[in-house]
Amino acid sequence: MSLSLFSSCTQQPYCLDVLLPELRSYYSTIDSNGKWVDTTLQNPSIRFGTNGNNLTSIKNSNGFAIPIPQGQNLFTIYFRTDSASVSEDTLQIVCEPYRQFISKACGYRYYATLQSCTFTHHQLDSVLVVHPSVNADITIKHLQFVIRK
Amino acid sequence: MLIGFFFLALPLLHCYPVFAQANEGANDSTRSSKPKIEKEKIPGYYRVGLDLSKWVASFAQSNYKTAEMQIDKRLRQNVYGAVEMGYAQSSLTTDKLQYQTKNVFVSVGPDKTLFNRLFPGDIENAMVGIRYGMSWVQRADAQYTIADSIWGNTQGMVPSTSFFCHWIELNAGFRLEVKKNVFAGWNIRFRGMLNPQKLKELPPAYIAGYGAGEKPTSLGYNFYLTYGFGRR
Repeated sequence: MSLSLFSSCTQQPYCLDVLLPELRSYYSTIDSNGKWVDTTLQNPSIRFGTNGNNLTSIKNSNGFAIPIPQGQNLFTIYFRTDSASVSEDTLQIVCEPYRQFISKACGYRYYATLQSCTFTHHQLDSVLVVHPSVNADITIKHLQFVIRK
Repeated sequence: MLIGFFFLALPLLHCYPVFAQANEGANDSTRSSKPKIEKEKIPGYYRVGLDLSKWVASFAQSNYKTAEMQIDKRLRQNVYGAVEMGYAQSSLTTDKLQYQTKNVFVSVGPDKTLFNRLFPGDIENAMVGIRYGMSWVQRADAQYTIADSIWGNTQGMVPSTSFFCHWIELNAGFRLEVKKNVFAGWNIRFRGMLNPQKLKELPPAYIAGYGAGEKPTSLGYNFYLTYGFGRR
């Protein structure tokens, strides 16, 4: 009992916050008046990861969220408005990563400040950085994808 | 609950002289039947000892080693001045973080006894006290790993650093003379860090004199074995 008393205060920490910070985006198009309107895509697909091997495809979605790389200032994602489409847009995102201590259990995470986004124009009209800070706030959307009609 | 105990206990200390005077008045009428308590001339009794609980904890725990000692001296009839000091080295080793820290601490403050002496030379007593604690902490380089199955793992190092932290603590306990001039006593302590922002990033696994480094408050205990010398 005495040993458990001594050990009770110094248990190995357990991390409950396992998610890496995510880059969130939403889709929009340009209407006949030249204004942006939010839209839903039937079957979009996004590839990302070290070699673009990770795929996310959420049917009837109005945006996507993917984890950002930890400590890198440049990463690439690939976007199709329809997963069956032949053409695919490539986006290169430049950011300024910064280290954030979470806890003894979880260690560090890298958050990032988005600086620019260059992209091909097969299906994309434009991509706007609407909120540059990628951090633990899960309510913020960072990029606006304006889709060509 | 503990804070409540201290807040209840502290006003009692102020009431204590009133009770003592009342007892003295009662003694006037029965002076011949009760032994007269000798008035102290020089309160020059010292005690020096080690905290045995930290010795046991150092064996029981794999992630820290610590030692603490205490010196106290009677300043007035019911007041002792105490100095505590100690050392700890601790490490945190997980799949995400690895670092080691060392610290030394000193805390100073008074203890006030709660009961009258039963006879001249009686030093056994319950006591409450307050301390101001200071610690100098050194952290070695910290290695971190961020596991990421999508983009690849990231590893890095945070350079070593040193910092100062300080706290206030309240304590309450009891001390018993188990053999002539040999005392055993326990106490419990509630501590509040005064500059917790220093411990926000890579806190020590253990700070001697304080406890777990990442918490702004801590609850601790001591079990002292002390040796006394001087005029009782």
